Amino acid sequence: MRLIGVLRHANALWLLPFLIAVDLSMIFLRDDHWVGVWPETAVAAQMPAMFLAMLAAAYAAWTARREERLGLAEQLEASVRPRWQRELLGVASIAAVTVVAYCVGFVVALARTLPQSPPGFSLVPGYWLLGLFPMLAAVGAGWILGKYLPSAIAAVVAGIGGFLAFAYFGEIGGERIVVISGYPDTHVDLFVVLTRVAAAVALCAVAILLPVRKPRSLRGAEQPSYPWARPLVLVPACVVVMISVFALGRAAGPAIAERAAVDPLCRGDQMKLCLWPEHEKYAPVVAEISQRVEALPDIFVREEDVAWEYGLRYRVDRLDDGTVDLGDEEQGSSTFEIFDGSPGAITREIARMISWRGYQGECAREVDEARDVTLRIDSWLEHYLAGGGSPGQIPAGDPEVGEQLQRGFDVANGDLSREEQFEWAEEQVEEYRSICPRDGQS
Amino acid sequence: MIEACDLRQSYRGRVIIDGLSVRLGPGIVSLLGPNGAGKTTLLRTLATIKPPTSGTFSVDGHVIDSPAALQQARHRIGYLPQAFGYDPSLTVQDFVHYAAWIRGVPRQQRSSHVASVLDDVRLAEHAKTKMRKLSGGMIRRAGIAWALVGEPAVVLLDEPTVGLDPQQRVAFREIVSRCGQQATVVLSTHLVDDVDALGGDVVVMNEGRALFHGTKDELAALGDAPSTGATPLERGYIRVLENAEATAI
Repeated sequence: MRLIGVLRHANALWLLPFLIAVDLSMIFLRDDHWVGVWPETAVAAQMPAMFLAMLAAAYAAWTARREERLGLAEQLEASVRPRWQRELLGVASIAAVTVVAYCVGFVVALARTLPQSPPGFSLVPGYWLLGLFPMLAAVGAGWILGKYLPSAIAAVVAGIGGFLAFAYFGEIGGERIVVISGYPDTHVDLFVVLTRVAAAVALCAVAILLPVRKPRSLRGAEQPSYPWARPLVLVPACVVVMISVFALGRAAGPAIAERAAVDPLCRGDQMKLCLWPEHEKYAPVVAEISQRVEALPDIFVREEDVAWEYGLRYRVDRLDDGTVDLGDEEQGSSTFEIFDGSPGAITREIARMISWRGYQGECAREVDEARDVTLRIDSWLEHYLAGGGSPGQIPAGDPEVGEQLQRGFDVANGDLSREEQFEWAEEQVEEYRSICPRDGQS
Repeated sequence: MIEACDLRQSYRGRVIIDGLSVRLGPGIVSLLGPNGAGKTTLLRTLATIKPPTSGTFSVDGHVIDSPAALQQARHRIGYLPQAFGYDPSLTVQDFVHYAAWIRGVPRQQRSSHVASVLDDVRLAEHAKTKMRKLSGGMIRRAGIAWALVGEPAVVLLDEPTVGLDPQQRVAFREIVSRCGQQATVVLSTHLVDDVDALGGDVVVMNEGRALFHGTKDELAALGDAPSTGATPLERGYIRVLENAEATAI
């Protein structure tokens, strides 16, 4: 059949503009920190896959018995084409329309980053493949539901079930099916993700091959058929195929793997801040931060120092919320992270690093007064390094902690000159040392 | 040509076709009979949708006794059920294109087959019209195109004139007459008018059996004797049914 006729027949063509609109909304209605960084751009373009998958599942469920609803069952029973070929047409049409919408979103997102031409484009295809899996799997699962449930019920079950599956169980081996951040220190393992895509294709194949019960008026003695096409052979075979492929998908391991360190992109002299090359767009911000660090009183800065973006030198476990747990022995390591493109997150990490390497020690955890001082200093450092000038409130939390953080924030963003701020900071350090005389002296 | 040999068909223990042996074709063959005579079941059986409970039939001399033979037979048969379905959002051309694909017409020949068959059913100028915008008669003609595409040797039409107004029926008969020159056309009807207009062979069916098989003139000749009915053909038809009832008693 002509392609356009195929899509029209599967009634999938009208779905395309709707899916594209959903995809582009998902990409552009969130903040644009991803623009200018290839892996973040790819992840931003990959995230709508989850929503496209839910819609595709519902639509596949609705479409699976569409020919029957249209009264075509009897004509098609006399078809030269076996049933699986006709179903393939439907499944392939829905999958194609969904993937096309996904690709349109991808291309548009890539076009936003292209003018900045940062390094790291090779990380993009992996994330593209990562998004294919949930969409193809959803089409297969939706089609199976649609074959055995009344169409309207199947569509609702597939749509809501898809949402719940992604929201609450959307993991494979403890890893999210759709990732939300494209850290430059990680990449997508192509073998693993291709295995998942193969599993999704297998699910679609099973969806197509599973036998259906004919309408009552067309039931009769068994047609002479090929032995392999009989339900007693076909159904167990499909189940075995599914279990095997999914077991392989799980056994293949995590799809997001750590990258080997590369030549970093460093800014600053006395205080060097080194980034993953993919984070080139943050180089000017990092250079400014470095200059502000270098200008700090001697009490905070070593003669020469280097801080590394996470993954370039140290690797520790990443927490569920995406932050980095440096662990006790790693506290004070010269590592920082750029989390979701926030300069505030950079300066927060660097402020903690400076404090630990400059004056702080274990006492800050054990003595309340010492903790309060470090909270004030860290808050000031964070906002001073970010450039200050942004009066406001620290988000409410623990009132005692919030009060200390607000004091540091007010100093950085108030009317004090830089020298006056430094003077205040040195006084704070002196106060800390009076509480914890042994800390930070080594 | 289709040849059935001792064909039986039953549904939930009830006999629908009872040992039917008949040779249909070439040309037009009308299956005439009251409602429940087994015409639709016979057509479904010949269309390979409902396998017979026993007995065999062949299409153009090929007995359907294996999956391969079944596939081959389906290439030779075009079938239009009485309540045929269509996708209202498709254009006429796409609807027939889909039929061509379903019927296994090779890709390179599909477009020419579709154009030709739309021309045959006088729908060429409506090729790009959506199915939902067609009149009842046009939809029937699109259905005929579905059955004719791919040049099948046997065309099975179940009650194709139901719901058509007199003018549409005339146009429809003209199309079927032309088809009958190239293929065996087996159509079921309970309207004697259709048989009269189309000519060809007539099989009168009742309760799953063929009560009469001959030309329309032979059937009309049976109506020369006094009987109910407005035309000789109607009287002949009624006579055949009455004779069968009398024999059964």
